[in-house]
Amino acid sequence: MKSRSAYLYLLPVLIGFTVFTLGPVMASLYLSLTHYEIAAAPVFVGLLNYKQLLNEQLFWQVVGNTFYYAFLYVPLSVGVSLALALLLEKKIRGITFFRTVYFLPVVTSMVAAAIIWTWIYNGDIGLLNYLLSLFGINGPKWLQNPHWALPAIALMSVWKNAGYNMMIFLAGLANIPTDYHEAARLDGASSFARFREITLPLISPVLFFVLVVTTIGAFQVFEQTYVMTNGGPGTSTLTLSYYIWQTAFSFFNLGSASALGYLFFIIVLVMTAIQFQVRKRWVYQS
Amino acid sequence: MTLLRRLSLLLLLLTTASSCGKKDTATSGKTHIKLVHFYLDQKDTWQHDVVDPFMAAHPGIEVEVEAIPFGLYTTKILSAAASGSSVGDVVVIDDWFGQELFKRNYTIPLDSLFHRDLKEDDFYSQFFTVWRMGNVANAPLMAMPASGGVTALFYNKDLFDKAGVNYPDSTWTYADFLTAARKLTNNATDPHQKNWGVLLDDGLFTGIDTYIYSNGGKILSDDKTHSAMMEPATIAAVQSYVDLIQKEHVAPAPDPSQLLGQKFMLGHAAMMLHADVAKTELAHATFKWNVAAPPKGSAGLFDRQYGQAFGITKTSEHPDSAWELIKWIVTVPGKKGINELFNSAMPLNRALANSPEFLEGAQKCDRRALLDINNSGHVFTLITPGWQEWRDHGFTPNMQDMLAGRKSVHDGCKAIDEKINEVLSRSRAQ
Repeated sequence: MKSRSAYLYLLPVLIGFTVFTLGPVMASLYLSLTHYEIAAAPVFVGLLNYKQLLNEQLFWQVVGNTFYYAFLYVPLSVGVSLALALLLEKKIRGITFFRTVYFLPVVTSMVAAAIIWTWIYNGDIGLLNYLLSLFGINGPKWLQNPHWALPAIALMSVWKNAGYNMMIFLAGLANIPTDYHEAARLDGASSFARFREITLPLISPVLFFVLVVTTIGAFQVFEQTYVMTNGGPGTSTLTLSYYIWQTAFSFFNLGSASALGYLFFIIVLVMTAIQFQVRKRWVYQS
Repeated sequence: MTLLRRLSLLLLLLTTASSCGKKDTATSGKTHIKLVHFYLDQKDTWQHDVVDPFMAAHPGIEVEVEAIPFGLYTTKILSAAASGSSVGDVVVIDDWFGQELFKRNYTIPLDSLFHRDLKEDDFYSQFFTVWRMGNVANAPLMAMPASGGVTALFYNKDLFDKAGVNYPDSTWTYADFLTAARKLTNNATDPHQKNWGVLLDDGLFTGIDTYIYSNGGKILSDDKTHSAMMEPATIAAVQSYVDLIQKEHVAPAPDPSQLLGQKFMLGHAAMMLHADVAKTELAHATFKWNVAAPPKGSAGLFDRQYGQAFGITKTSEHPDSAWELIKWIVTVPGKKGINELFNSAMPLNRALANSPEFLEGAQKCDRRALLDINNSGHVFTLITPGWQEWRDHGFTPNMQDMLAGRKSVHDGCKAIDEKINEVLSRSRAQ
């Protein structure tokens, strides 16, 4: 009787999970094996969608763009967040104000931020090039140039998201016992030595978490490219999430989009597995 | 009471409640039909100017209206076509997904009703083909064409006046266009002061297709089964388009981060070729502007069409009443005229298009110039299966590369050619 009641209480969650998570995941797996253009019933085609995608030059270019974005964004984002956390960790007057200021972009709408940054990056009348011109630098047309567009988007994303990781690092830093730093200081250790030998090892589990989450987030980049460049110039900012969305909701090719979704899942899975493997080498376990 | 009984009771209550909301023809004595459209911003106008007067004139017919945002609308109606389920009796259809509905016979042929009640001569019938089964002339008419849009030449009258250049008119050729663009481009280095003769965009539906076809080129073969991008006339037309930026310097390189037409809207470009829906966006412009027919090229005036039509779904139980509503929509102007009903696109009924309500409508521009296109030009469509894919993954990115000088015209056209043929052959195979 008790177990029946337990199942009854679990039922809403189970129904929600089945209908909104497990169901769509399984349905998209099936759809990835079909030709399905929304206006007609799906037709089973086996692995044809996967084969076509893997043979498509554009797919590999999109994968390359996504990795390039992650390569630019992840180290920069983690580095900036950690640096901000180290600066804002100090218990000085008004520090909460600065923490709030640096966290503000996180709660700002990505679309609104992207539109503002589009103007900042404007090659003719943008703020960034104006500031560069004060130093005699002739800035490029950031979003019109295929070499600069993706780095520009990555930089904007760092500004947008650094505050979130900063808060996680701040929580990690707060857990480091002050005795360690005091003892090291008495032994004459420099600030950098204390950071390298105490802070970094002790926040390494937090750093690992931030790295994994930021990497997955980098692979999911969508709003920025959608609003700022539409995947251009050319196809230089076409990333995986945008490509999936375009295939599904612009081309209405849901079979191919589902296959792309699973390929995306495999890529993220492999990347995360590698990170977990490498973890043993550098994450400090107390 | 057991849980099962409670659930059964709840279900029964829900079923009863949902039945209460249904319109019943037998009890109200009226035929109930449903109109589904995506004119969300004009929802009230549709109700007050079309549906209410229609019901007053047809006391036996009751019309329910459902307005759905465009993005959801397409998904909903395409899904309904796949499953054969009902969304309503009368549905508005955009040209780019019309054939998807027609090949599944989701709408019924209207030829017999059309010929019974209307005359083809009363309409700009060159726009009809895209609404026929398979996009083929004389095939069954699967939806009643209501509005048609074309590409227009927008011009900033203030900049023309400042440069002392005569406004464009229907006699203009692309040679006149280039001469004017040179005069209208100033030499300012300060971006705030820089004015361009013309703004060129990189994607379809913004003028380049009209430019190519008017200058003797083609994007697709006449039967739309393969690409025509590698035909010499097409390459020459694309080259002359690219030259406006790269050689003549009368237009800025396209910027994918800017909205279509942004430099024109901000008063920094004197002309732009754009789908005439831009009239709506220009309603609040701070400068004086007008529209003209696009210039004539070596092949004359070709203009890419787009438009909307109304179909009767195969699930409708009252096709005659649905036809009465469609007939009303395409022939009777509303109180505010026909301006707002189709996102300011031109009605295809000649009487409505030539009515003072349309010609002197909300946007202060010369709409008669747009009618000239229908009278003297040729309209064409580029809608094919998978056209969005060859546009977004072939045409637009390669045009961006060519216009920015990153790719030669030959290589760019070749890449577009390959993408179009790949998509079209894949569509045929499926």
